[in-house]
Amino acid sequence: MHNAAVLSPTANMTGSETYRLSVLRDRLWRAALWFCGFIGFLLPVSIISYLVFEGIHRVSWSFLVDYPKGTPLGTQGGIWPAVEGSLALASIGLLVAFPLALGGGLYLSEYGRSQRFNETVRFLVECLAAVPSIIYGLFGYAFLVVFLKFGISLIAGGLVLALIMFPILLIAIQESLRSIDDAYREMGLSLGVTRFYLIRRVLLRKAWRGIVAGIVLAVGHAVGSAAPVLFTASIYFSKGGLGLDRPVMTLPTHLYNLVSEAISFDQAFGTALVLIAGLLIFNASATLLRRLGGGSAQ
Amino acid sequence: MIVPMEMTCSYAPEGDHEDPADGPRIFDVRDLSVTFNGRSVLRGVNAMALDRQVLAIVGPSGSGKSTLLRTMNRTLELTLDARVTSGDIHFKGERLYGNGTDPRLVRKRICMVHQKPVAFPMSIGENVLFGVRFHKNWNGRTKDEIIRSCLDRVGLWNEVKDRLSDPASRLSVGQLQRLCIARALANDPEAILMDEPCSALDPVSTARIEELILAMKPQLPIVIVTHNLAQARRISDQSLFLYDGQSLEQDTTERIFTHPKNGRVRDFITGKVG
Amino acid sequence: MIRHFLAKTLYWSDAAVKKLSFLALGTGVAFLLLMIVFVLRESSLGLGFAMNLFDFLVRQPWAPMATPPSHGIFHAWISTLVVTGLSLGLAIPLGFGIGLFLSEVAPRWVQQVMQPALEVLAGIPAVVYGFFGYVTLVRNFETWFDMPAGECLLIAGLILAVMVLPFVASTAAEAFRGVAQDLREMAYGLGVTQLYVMRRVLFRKALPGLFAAVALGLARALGETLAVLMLAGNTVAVPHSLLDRGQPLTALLTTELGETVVHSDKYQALFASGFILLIVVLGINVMIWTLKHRFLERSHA
Repeated sequence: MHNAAVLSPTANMTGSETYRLSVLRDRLWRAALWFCGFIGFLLPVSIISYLVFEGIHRVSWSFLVDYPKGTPLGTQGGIWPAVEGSLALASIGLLVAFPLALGGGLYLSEYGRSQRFNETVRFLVECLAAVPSIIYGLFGYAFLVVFLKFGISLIAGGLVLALIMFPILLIAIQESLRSIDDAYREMGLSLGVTRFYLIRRVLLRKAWRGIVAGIVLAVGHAVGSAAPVLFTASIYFSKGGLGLDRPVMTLPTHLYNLVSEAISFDQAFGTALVLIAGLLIFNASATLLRRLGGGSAQ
Repeated sequence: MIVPMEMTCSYAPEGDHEDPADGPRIFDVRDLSVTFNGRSVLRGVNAMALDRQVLAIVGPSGSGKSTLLRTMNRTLELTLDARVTSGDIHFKGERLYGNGTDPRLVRKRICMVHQKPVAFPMSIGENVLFGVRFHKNWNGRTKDEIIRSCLDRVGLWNEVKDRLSDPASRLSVGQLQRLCIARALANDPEAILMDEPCSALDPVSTARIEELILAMKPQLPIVIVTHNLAQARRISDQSLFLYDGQSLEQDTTERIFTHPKNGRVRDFITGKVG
Repeated sequence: MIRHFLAKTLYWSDAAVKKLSFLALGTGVAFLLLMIVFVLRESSLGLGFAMNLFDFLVRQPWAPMATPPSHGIFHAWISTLVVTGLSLGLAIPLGFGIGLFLSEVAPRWVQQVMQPALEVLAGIPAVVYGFFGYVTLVRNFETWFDMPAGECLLIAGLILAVMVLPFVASTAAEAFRGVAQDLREMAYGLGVTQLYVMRRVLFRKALPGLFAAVALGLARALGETLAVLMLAGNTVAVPHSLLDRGQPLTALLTTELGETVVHSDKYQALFASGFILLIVVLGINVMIWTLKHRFLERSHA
């Protein structure tokens, strides 16, 4: 360029000393952030692989379906009653909580007409979703086990888990309904159908992915938590078989007992791995379902 | 849409051509192509801007006006997947896309004023000083002197001098846009790029920005993207017409609006196409 | 005729569904409110709660077997405070760093790997964390620090930090992502570095969201039970250092509740401490709610 020399200033594109310093600081900072990210990745990977590495030789088919054996009880054999108990507790919780949460979510997002009412209820529900599970355990013990005389039983534990799952499910259902474009509602209702018809034919079909995600979250939370079932549903050992009025073993409380009573760390590794693997597989299959399942994505 | 070859480019990029209006070229855009995620957005654009002049980039929406502007101070690469695939821009003879060119230094010297003004989460005064505190281009001036002179240049000083420590978010949109210009001026830029700076503003604020552009012109070259042809006519010396990612014609504003050579440009200017 | 009848039933069924869904909502919420009331009822009766608050919280030791028995929870809330503070002190800087990394620095494929990794971290049950901490840290602490039993507040805090981390990190990432892209472009457009933009613009803009992240982490850490129960050492002595054993509130509740005579003084003391925990967590949640609302309003304006 013939005129470049005239205009080219002394300042050039490489910058001054102070500038170079601040670029260096920026580099260091970015490196620090990469390091943070690396730690965030390393933690789950190393925890999971440690548990897999230490536990994999314990887990077998017979470990899953056998009963605890040995002296002291639990040093040998399997964990079937705990698997059974955890599944039963989570199922009861879901059976009770899901209809209530679905109804509640539908009411809040589709039927409720008062903004203030909806917001107040939502606020309450969000508060209660944050309440520590040990508090639910206290309540379950005082109200269900003692006051209603349910005793330490499957039904008491199931109801406590239902209470824990209810706010999680409700929030997930309401959010996934709320994220549906209002145009669907207007278009549907302008055809003269009832809201329920619209909900059944359109809204639930659009929202089911979010609802499934909520179920996964709630069930995962319920299966993994020991504090609320510790004094509402669980016992050290059971010979298996379920009854609503009988206590059960659960995976998390079994793991807790194995460790806190120092019964068998070997068995504990196996139990922890079964619990983790079960949760991960459950999560992954729900993700797969959401990805492959029919209906339109949101 | 594919434009036949003979319709593209009006302006010869190479140096043997004698520039109109005898100013030296500040920006020289040569054969610039840009893709977004593989999709071609600019295709072999040629353009230039002269010192102490206003260049208006006009054309229908989606023709790549903003993209071209954003390549001119290397803010394009802030958009994920945007890539300059060929060509280069020369700014005062230096290559903007050369190896080892620091984009941040390019941005320091060539500032951008956006369509929608946004206040940084700090006081009015600190907003002005945002770049200065980083680049340390105090040049012997105090904080207050810089704030005062920059706000003065954009005509905001008298309106805000008593509330410099108020959060900038309290300003009106028109004031905010002028604050954004002051923020750019505080960087001591060597050129200013403006991306439809008036499209969010009311007519009164628009007029003030236009006055401001004309007032800054003697010191700085300005490149402005506008969809408002009347505005381009009012304030620019040169106009570049972009169509579908290609530069159809560049000439003095006078000539482009009275005697466009290109048929599409004529159609657009006379309002046959929107 | 039939069609008319059908239509009528349909409309009627809609009204029924509306009532049913309201009923469902009411039942759920009523039970949750009942929980608060019931915990309060079980705690305050007979304790003369307000009168003895100072004794309960500070002066008395936890000595239910002594004559006369005393039920103070000073050691428990001190332990809770130490463990929670330690865990947040670690999880907040790291979590904010991960949040910034995810929202500002990481390439897309890294984000796609990190997101599920953090979800896994959040999904690991507390009891497994407790077990993991026990077999990795507790055993090694016994040899490293020559302790008779390895459990201590430091370990509980460390593991708790890992548990809280994914919540802090993803909330922080959300807060940073919520900052308008315009603002970033403008700031970078002035030729400054990423560090400068983060410091001067992003942090301030994301502040309410970052507060929410801290509050969320705090609520999580306060209420966490199994891990601290297994790792903190479970002793009623007041801790004096990080390597001392302690008994956070939640651990106290879990340890004692099963062996307590219903409606005894001790039972009521346990429920009173549970109620205090509940109130603190609810208070934190009210804070999160207000922050979120103010944040929403501001981003609408």
